[in-house]
Amino acid sequence: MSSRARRQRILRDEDDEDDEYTQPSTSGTQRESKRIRQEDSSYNELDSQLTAEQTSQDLERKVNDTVRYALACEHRKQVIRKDDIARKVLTDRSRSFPAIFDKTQAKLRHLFGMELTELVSKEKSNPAKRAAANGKVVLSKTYVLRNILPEEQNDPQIIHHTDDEYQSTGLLYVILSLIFVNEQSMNDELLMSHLNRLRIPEESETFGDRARMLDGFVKQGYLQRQKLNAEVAQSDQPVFQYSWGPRAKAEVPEQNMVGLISSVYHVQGSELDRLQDSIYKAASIDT
Amino acid sequence: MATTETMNGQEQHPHEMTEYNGTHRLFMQSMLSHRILEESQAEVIYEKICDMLNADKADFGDFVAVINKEISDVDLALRRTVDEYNSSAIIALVNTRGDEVAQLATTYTANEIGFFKRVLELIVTADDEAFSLGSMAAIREGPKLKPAFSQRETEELLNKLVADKWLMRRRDGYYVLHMRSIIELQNYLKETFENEIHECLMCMEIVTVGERCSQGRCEVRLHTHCAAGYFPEQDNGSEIKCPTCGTTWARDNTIGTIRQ
Repeated sequence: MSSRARRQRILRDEDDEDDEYTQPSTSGTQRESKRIRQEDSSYNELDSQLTAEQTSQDLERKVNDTVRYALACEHRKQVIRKDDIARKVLTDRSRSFPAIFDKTQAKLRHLFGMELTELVSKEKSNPAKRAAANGKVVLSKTYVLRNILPEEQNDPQIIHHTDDEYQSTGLLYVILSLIFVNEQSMNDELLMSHLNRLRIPEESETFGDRARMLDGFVKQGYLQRQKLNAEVAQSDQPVFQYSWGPRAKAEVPEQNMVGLISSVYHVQGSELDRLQDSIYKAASIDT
Repeated sequence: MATTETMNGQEQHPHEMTEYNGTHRLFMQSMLSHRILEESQAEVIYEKICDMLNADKADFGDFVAVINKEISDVDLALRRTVDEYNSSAIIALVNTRGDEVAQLATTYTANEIGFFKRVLELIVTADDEAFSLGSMAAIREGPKLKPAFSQRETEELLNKLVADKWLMRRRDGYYVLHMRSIIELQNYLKETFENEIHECLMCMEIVTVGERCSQGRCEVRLHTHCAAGYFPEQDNGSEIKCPTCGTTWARDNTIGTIRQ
């Protein structure tokens, strides 16, 4: 976009904003002003004034674009890649990423009570690379937009979720718990047999195509699916292993998962402590 | 961040009321999830938020104004208007940038948007300003596209467009524009269908359900609720006239309503 077009857009946006607050009183005024806006010549005298402010305005615009991009990605539960922000949103300003990113975060927190959380990288299957990472958390340059308002504010009377969302979130949490207490990973076959037992067949009215739904969870970053090599799998058929995806790790703290699982048992006091200890053990987490 | 600095000595109006705070943030999350609400529902949500956060309740209009001042930066706005179909006050979260239809691309494929645009066209250009499209006619459009949608895919897509509040299925089974489309796509509609889309003479908003002047060349259209406010009660059968051309106004000369 040329700088003139961009300026015009900024000016046009300011105009639109005015429309928000003023009731148009006579017919034709809207059309009239639209025609004036389209005339380039009326902005010529602004050219010289604008160059000085251009840099900071430009930066501000990129921050706002990044906010919008983050909201749009989150709307379809898609992970947000740093590369995509740089390429699709920042374009010629991609070197200003750190500054723009900080301002974007501040704006997301302020306006919506949300922030971008960087996802932990996939654990490297290659032992050499894992060694190189030296047990440190490897960040992935991908983000999800996370709600940072206190949990009790996520009240169904305030925040609307569709029935589909409730159903798929419910099932997702069941799958995450099953994987969690199975030492954090579970092969394909075992997961499918659990789902069969829960009467979630390959095709159902509620959840549709089961495989497609699992693909969706993988794509959204809630689940991670890895193909095991033939030696480990001890099978000539390809074997896939499911574990928590980076988004689940970012959104669901371990203690919440333990709390969720233990709540099913309705126990209290020392019995609850013992139960939670055994859940941590099943998840092979040292307490 | 535009936090308003308060003047000294304003005991009457504590600055908490005019400053963007937790109540505004949570209301924005609510609007992001609903997109469009009856204003009465929105006010109930606002009250619930104030209770929850232990905050003083401001006038709802002022509360919305504080939000609009802040979110205009990111080309969003809360727009308050009247539902053409049932005359109730509504509030919607809208994109104010000109690329409204492109916004759909966040949840629809290019082909699905192509289909939606075709349905919009058929609704807006329907004969005699009916602003509606029969369900069979809508389903027949899918297979005509390139690449074609099967009949089943077309039905699923129409259901999704209804669920996402872009289209509405009227009780006679016809598809009409949902208020969300009328509000969010108003620039697209006005620019694409310059001849078919009229603005109400009273409120200047797009009108697809209302009354029209009986003089064929006169472009005056009024929303049902705007007309009800403009024309006095017809208690003695006195003649009412078009505010622009003076032609006798027939209240039953309607557009966008269910036809016999």
